[in-house]
Amino acid sequence: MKIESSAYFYATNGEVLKNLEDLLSFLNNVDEETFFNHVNSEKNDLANWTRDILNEKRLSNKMFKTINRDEMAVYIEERLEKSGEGGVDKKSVISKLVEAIS
Amino acid sequence: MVEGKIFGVVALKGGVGKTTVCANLGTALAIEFDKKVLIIDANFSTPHLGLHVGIVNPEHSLHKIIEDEYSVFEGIYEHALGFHIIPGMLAPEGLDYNKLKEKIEPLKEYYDYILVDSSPSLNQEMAATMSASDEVLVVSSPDYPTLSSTLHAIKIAKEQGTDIRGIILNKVRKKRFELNPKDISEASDVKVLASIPDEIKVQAALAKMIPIVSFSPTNEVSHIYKKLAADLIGEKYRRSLFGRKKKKKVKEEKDEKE
Ligand SMILES: Nc1ncnc2c1ncn2[C@@H]1O[C@H](COP(=O)(O)OP(=O)(O)OP(=O)(O)O)[C@@H](O)[C@H]1O
Ligand SMILES: [Mg+2]
Repeated sequence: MKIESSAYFYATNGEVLKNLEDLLSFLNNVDEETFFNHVNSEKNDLANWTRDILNEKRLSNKMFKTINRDEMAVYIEERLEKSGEGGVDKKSVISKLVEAIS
Repeated sequence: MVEGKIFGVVALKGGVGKTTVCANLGTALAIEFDKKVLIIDANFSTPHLGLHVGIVNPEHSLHKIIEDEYSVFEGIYEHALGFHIIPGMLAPEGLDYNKLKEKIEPLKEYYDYILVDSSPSLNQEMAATMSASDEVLVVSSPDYPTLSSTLHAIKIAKEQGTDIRGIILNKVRKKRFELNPKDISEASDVKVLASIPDEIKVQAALAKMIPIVSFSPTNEVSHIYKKLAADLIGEKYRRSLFGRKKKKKVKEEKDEKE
């Protein structure tokens, strides 16, 4: 999905986010202060943007429930995986590993 | 007198970060939470805990305590970072690892927390750590081989009847190809207590033989270690941008009021 540049997320450190991939990388790399400018006990700009601009309602609901960046990143990863490509089936590898040990 | 708790830090895989976890949790508990902490190197075949905290060739070593060369109290070093440590040196063959428990159990009277670093091999060394521990922390990383080893370690702990406190997921890069905490906790039926990023500063800290919690207190990894330490002991940790909290000052003010 393409969004207008006016709808991009402009972080206080100058970073510009256009999609979920950018948001994930932002969460993984941004400094504490910038993160705190956008996500704190008062507000969650990232979740707002995800809901209002990216139209990711379900994901943003999860994001609103936390101010922990790692947790937020995991939610986004999960969301991206769902729309991602194939490869080995993680679930089946894991269940085989579990089976082999027990 | 305190009634301390012994945490075994285990993994059935080399290099996942057991020793790093011991050194950093020990440091965090001591400097951030003012706990009486002892860290013990019970990795008898590749004992490196000392090297993580600036002790290169210790005169005293855990195996000599086990061999009754001197008492456990004589083998304890007081570290400048606030914790105490019983370092290890390569142990001779045929050491009676099973004596680990009887040697360290009495120390619970003197320490709030004792962390035992262990061997990655499926052998008596690892079994000795598990049986000496009240709870184990299983160190893991987000890939299939390590998950397999983690499942195995958890199985052994269960068989031995040792409580498993949780998994510490280390060297996380947040890549899409990695296993995530949910995958790992679901597969193992054990809680993931913390996800620690793969961070070059951890190695820079090792090169200086200072745990990252002290070497770089405001690094994300240091915050995560301190949060983990708080969770383990049921305390709160609030990260400040300026590193270590001025605990002492707060305490002084409190004492003044009383
Ligand atoms: N979060 C991290 N990010 C980057 N490097 C790390 C991290 N944690 C540990 N390391 C590095 O990984 C290496 C192995 O760590 P460590 O010695 O703690 O593992 P171990 O499980 O104790 O190994 P062994 O099984 O040999 O005792 C060290 O160089 C350490 O600095
Ligand atoms: Mg080690």
